[in-house]
Amino acid sequence: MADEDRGSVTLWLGDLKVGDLAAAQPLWERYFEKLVVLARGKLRRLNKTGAEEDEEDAALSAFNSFCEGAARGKFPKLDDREDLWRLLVVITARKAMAQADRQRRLKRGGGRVGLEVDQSPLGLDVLAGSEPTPEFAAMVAEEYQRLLDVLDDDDLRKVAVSRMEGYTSDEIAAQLGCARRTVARRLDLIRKIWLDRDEAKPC
Amino acid sequence: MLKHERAPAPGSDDLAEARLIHQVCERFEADWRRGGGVRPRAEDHLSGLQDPSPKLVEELLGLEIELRREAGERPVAFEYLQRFPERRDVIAGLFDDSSPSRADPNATAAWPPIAAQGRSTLVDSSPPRPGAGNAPATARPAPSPGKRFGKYELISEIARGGMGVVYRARDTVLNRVVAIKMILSGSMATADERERFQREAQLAANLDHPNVVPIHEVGEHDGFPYFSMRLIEGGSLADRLDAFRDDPRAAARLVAILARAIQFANEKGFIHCDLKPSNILMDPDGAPRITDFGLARHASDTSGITMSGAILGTPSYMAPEQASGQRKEISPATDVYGLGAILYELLTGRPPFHLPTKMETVLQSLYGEPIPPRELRPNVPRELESICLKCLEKSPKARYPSAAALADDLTRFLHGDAVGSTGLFQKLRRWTRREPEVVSRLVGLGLVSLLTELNYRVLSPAPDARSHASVQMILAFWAILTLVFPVLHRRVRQSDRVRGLWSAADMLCLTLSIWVLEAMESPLLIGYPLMIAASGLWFRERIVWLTTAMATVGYLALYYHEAVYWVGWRPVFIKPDSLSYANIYVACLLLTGFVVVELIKRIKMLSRYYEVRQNVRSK
Repeated sequence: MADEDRGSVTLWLGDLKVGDLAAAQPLWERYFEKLVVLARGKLRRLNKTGAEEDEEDAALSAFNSFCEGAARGKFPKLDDREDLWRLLVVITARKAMAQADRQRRLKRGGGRVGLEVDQSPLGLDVLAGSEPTPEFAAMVAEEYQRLLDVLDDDDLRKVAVSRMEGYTSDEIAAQLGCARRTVARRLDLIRKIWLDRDEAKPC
Repeated sequence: MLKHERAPAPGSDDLAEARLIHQVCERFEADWRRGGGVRPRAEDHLSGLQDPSPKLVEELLGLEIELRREAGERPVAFEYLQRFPERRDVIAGLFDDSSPSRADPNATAAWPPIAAQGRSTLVDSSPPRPGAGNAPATARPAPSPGKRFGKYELISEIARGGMGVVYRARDTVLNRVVAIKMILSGSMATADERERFQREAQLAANLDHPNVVPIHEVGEHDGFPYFSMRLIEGGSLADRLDAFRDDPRAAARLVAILARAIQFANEKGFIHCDLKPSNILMDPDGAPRITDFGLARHASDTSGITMSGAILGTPSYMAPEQASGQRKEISPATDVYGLGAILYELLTGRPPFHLPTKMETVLQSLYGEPIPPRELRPNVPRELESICLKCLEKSPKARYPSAAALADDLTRFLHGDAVGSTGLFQKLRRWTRREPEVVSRLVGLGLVSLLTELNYRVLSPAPDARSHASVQMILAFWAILTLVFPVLHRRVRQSDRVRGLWSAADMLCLTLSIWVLEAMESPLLIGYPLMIAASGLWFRERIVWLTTAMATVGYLALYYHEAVYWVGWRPVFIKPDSLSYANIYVACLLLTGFVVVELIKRIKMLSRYYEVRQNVRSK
């Protein structure tokens, strides 16, 4: 894998310098599109086993909408740290790293290593790869399903899915018939719940 | 999987708070949307919570504001400040369009929506402004100079006064340039006062007269009451005083025009109460227009807009009934006074009363009399002077009964007809008020002179013609001095020095007359403390001390003359027993001076306090 590619993947998952954003955006888009397509396939297979049609639709909806949007060149902005897609990928990547780390530790019996993606993104690209690996995409799909489940509240889930589909807060507010501030507040809570789960998850 | 892991993990206070905020707000919105007549109030939803965090309050209030706007209301910051006085910061943030906390957290949002053009709605997430739909929201400038104020775009500051700021502004809806007067928040504390202001300004907006600046709109934005009016480009009369200095007839013409306009307003029940050159704006073609009727008190409203008893208006131009806070006395004659004050300044180039401090100016306008214009400028016609002074009479009854009467008299003057003149008695009365020091001294001296004459001719068992003559001469000399000093006082710039001299001359005369009468142990000694007390009326501590020192010196001189006799180099006290009284007397003189100085200090402190307070209010 080329050095510049590795650098860019590292960049978009980690802390980004503003100047790099414009350069990294196309790479992120290419990577992201493939990742989502793969994850969608994985999610469909996951849901085949016993899930009801509606639920499957709901979960897949975001991926489907994204693929449509991507076909028209619409991607999440790389510089938006609050974006749910980005959050999903980062959480999944952290989880993957934690797993890899755990395996390493089991082998060595050694101490803890810093896991913060944002601070030490080195090694992340090994997992994610400059091309999205099917394994990572599968993890994204699983993580997505799981994160939606964690939201134990249909209103929150609706907002999350709509947001992943690319609707703006105003549009979501109109769809749900609630205040714009309420949408913003729910999104904030969703992010907090997800990050909290991500940090608190012991295993 | 892992579905029920709900307990907040350690260190996730943030999440717990977010959940609480979420709960409270969701419940509030559900209550709101349920409808049924009873609307939930943010207070009620906050009351059950222990010490709600600022973030929670911000979210809940923000939600309520958004829901109210959705319902077509226009909530204002002021209302929220009243409901939640201790949440100032939060509320300021909610109503400040430019602050980042106001911006939608998703405004930077991801990915342009699938249902395209959503972006523009995102940028314009600010509340709908009635009538401002066509204004490009993205063009909203930074908060500094070209700030936006409702539908107005503030261009520049024109003037700043005690109550408010006047801006040149563009009305973005009608696309015209107007003047906006914003009332500073400090000057109107309660909702009551604001409401009254609005009501009055709305009434004033009905004043339709070619010499009154028209008010376009009255409103409130972000808690600031304001009104917009036509922008008059020519500046105010205060900038054009020079043009009238050598043309009394032009001044008379101008004031006659103003008087007609005031009469029109008075008839509609408005009293301006703050007439002064800076409130008269001049059209480019020279036509005067009266502004600031927004401050005027509506005549039918006895409580008046004059907020919380504060003296409104400008001391130099204020009618006595206004300066003394007797609101019930305010009548059309108050505006006649204001017109007279404008005429006075046009004729002489200075306001009727103008002293270094507000307190002195107010006192002067209450008790003093303006210097007749002809003394300051001999080219002022006598008739015009008497018209002007009639306007400035202390008692409203002595002035013209209406602005129309003033206008009529001015017109008569301009046509060369006889003017309702003032009698000798009135002139004498004015002079008494104008020169209280002179008059009181002369009256006092006259009285003493008369009594001396009485004593000499009737009561005295052994009349001494020589000493009587010298006393009367001293009194006459004193009277002449009394007439000379005021002239000096007016001519010389350093008036404090003249006052000191005057005081010294008084002492000299007093001491001389006691000396001549050899009245060392007589009640005439009361003259010294009396003079000290009287010197306090200047309100100058130094003059009081000086007078006290002079009195002491005078007394000691008398004492020396009377009781000390020199034998070689040794003084011999002729009347040793009177010494103990003499030192007590000197001590009492000093004490009197001290007491008077203390009084002056207190009065000055009070006056400073009120001035500072007024300044604070106007900030």
